[in-house]
Amino acid sequence: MLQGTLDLMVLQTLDALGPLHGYGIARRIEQISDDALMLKEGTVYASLVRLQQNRCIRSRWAPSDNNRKAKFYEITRRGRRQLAVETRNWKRVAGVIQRLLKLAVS
Amino acid sequence: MDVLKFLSRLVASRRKAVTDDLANELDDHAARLTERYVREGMDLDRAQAAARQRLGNVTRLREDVHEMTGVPWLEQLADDIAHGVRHMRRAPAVAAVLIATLALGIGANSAIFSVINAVLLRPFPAPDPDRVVVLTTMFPEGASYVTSDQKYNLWRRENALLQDISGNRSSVVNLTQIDQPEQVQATWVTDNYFRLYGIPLAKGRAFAANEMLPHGRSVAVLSDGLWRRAFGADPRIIGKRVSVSDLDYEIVGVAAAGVQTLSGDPVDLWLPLVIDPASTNQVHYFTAQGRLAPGVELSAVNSRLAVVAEQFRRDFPNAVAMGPQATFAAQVSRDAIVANIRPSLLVLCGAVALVLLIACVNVVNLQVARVLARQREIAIRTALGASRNRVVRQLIAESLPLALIGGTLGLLVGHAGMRALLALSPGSIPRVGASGAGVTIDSGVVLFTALLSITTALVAGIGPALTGTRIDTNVILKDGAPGTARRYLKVRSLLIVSELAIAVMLLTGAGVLIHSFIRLRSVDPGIATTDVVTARMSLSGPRFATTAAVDRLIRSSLPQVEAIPGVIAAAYASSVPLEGGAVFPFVIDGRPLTGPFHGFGPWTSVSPHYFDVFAIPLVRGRVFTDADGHNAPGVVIINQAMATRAWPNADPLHARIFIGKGSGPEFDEPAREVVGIVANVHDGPLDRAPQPAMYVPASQLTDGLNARIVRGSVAWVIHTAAGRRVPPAALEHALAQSTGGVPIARVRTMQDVLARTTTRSAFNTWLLGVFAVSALLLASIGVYGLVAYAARQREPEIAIRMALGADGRAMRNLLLRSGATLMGIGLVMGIIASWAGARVMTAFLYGVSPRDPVAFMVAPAILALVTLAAIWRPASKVARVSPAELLRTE
Repeated sequence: MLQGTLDLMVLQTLDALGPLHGYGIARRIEQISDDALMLKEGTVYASLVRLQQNRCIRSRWAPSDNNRKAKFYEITRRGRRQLAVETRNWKRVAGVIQRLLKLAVS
Repeated sequence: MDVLKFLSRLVASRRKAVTDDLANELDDHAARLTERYVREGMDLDRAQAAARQRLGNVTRLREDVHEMTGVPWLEQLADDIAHGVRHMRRAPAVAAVLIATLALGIGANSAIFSVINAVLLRPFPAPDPDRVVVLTTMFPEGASYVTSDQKYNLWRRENALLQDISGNRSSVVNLTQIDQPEQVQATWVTDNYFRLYGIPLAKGRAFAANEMLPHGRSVAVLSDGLWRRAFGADPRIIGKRVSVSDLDYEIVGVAAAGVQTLSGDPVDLWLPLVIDPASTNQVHYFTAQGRLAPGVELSAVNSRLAVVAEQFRRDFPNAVAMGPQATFAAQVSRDAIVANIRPSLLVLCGAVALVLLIACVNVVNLQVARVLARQREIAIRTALGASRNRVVRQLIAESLPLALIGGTLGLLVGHAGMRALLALSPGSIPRVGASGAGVTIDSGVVLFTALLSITTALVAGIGPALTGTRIDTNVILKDGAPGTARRYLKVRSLLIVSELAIAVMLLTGAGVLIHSFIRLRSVDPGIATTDVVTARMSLSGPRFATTAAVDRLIRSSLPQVEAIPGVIAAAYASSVPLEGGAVFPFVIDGRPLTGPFHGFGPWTSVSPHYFDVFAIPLVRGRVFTDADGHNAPGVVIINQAMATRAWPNADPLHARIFIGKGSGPEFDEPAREVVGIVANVHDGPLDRAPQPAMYVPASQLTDGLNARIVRGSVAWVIHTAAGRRVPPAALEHALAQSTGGVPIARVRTMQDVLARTTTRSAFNTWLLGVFAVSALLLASIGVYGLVAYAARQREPEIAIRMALGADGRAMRNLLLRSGATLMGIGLVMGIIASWAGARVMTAFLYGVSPRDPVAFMVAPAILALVTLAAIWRPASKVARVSPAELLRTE
């Protein structure tokens, strides 16, 4: 998977669904991708630590569905800005790649 | 090193929190995955395995996170510094020498910087101080800062380019009718003075324009200090009255605490400076300042003032103190205040930088030796995979604690030393406050010292680190590196030579200054200074406004003073020699005039015994007597300088002169007859040739001039029997009856007065002397270290030579010669550099050339002696060693 892609997915998930724990994020990504990514779910946590260090997300411990305590992550204002920037970048790169691939085919 | 521990603990605790959380989250994640797989029908074992599979490599993940959460460079730095501290502990003597060396170098710099900070860098207490200018009359000899009503009124009318033109003058006055009559420092100012300097008022108001006119209301503004001291911080002070020299003033305001003048002098109270806008009086007695109007450049103001000067000359063709070459000019006030001190501070700054350079060289040399001793350790580290970068960084970081400890020590010691020195040289430097209280360790000084320490650590660490790590690991690990050691000896020799050269420069500089100072102190002031005491007193106010009153005061009080046991002679004088006084122009009666006057010079009004008190020899004619009274014909005594300059081919005795003629009504008097010629007195800076001087009887002034004179402070001067002291209380008591209890301002011996004229020079000389001696010490330590090191390096060679029959003394001479060669090269280089750079000293010297041959011979000679003494010990030690022992240890 491309570097930073996972961060983008995590941010997008948190932006769309609100506060979530790591397991929840992994499930959401699995669901969206129809499990096509075969993500090693541990890497989600590396992404979370990285994003938190960049102050794109914040976290707190809270009780979760099955009465266990879980660490919930929430996107920050800075994270939303970052997400917007990254989304634009992603679309541009994706567009370029698409055109490139089309050229290659034709 | 608590900071380091704290930092590393901080990093560790932050990391622990993250990793603990991570472990919990991963466990929870695995458990949830397992539950899900079990729910989907797997058995527990397989579900757990699948969950682990799904999570991926957890160990790798932990490592990644560990790296992400740390601050690696900070941790490494902490490690390296701790390593450095361990090294220091292992060799405390070496560490002590290093720290002392750095403390000396850094301390000297931070001490000088603290003075520069207080004098040059600290903001001046005025809004936008760069635009506050002082208005001057510029003569070819330099600027004159005093001005007259006449010039001031003209400048005020020509004020399109300047705002808030205001005048001020300062003097001591007596606060009367309060519990403790005391002398305070008053500043007479015009109304816009408060606006010009943005002086904030805590209570009441500043002066109003109508209070600046003749016969306006007498009002006063108190300083915060005086309000608390003399009025017990009375909250309802406004509207009350204060009696200043028997005149009544209404208190209209109290300034906020901490108000300072530009020059840092204290002010206790402000009184109105009344200048009649119609006055064309030419007496120069106050200074004028103003503010550049918005958008106006100083150069524009100066071109305009040049035009104004032309107009002034046309309007007042006979104006005194405005020769044909003079013009008006504005100077930025802060520049004018520090103009005299700036060059010497900058030279001292250069000198301390050189001292630090020498200190650095010594530290580099010691560190190189240590790095060489540690080559094996470094080689092992390199072999184990440490990059050269990492090793260099480590070596630099190790010198950081040394520099920081040295810097802290230096800051404290240097600052204490500087305060002591400033207390010893009062009044020599503007803006440092009483006894140097204004020179403080503020954040700027701390920051400067910290930066300097870190830079020093970098410089002292990087040299040895770069060279010490350029090694072939294999060679070192196999058999040590005799070759590297020898290469170092060359580098170190080069460093030592430059160190010696710098020391020579500082020593000759100090030598020239010391020689100049000796010359200055041995100038004969032309007056008796031992057993002469001066006391200042303010006679301002209505009581002594007339000459007759002052004459009565003199006649009644001097016999009382002379009756004090031990007093031989006593006199009254308008000023004390060497402390500055009035300067007036003179016109010789009957001689044609080409300009406004024939000459000018210091002027003193005195009582008859003045010449006895100061033992000023009478050359011809007579001194004043009691017969030269108020109604007797006007007389004047001149000095030899005036006699030879104004009457080069004639006899001045019985000639007649007008003093201050045309300056104003105060000077309207018949010509005075020259009745005596006395020897020259250095009535001014000692380093200037005596000027023409005039003395007149105090009883013969016009009332107007007398009022001007007593408005400042006058002096009582007393000659006592050898070694006798006059208690100020006895003097005050003797004067009390006739003065009505006016307090005495300050009592100073004439020797103190004399010493004060040379304090600036003493300050420079002391400092440069201390720096030069430090440089000498450091350089000799450096040479000692080098020769000792070289001797150790050559021990095997020497042992073999001696075993083969060489003489011990020959071996010693061999070492001495190599040391002496370095010294010789250093000396020659240093002398050449001093010779080339001598010109920076010119401004501080009196009576000696900056290339003073005495200093240029003595200084290198001292250095040579000390250096030889320093290399003698290690060299002769080698000669005494038994070759058998040397060979055995090898």
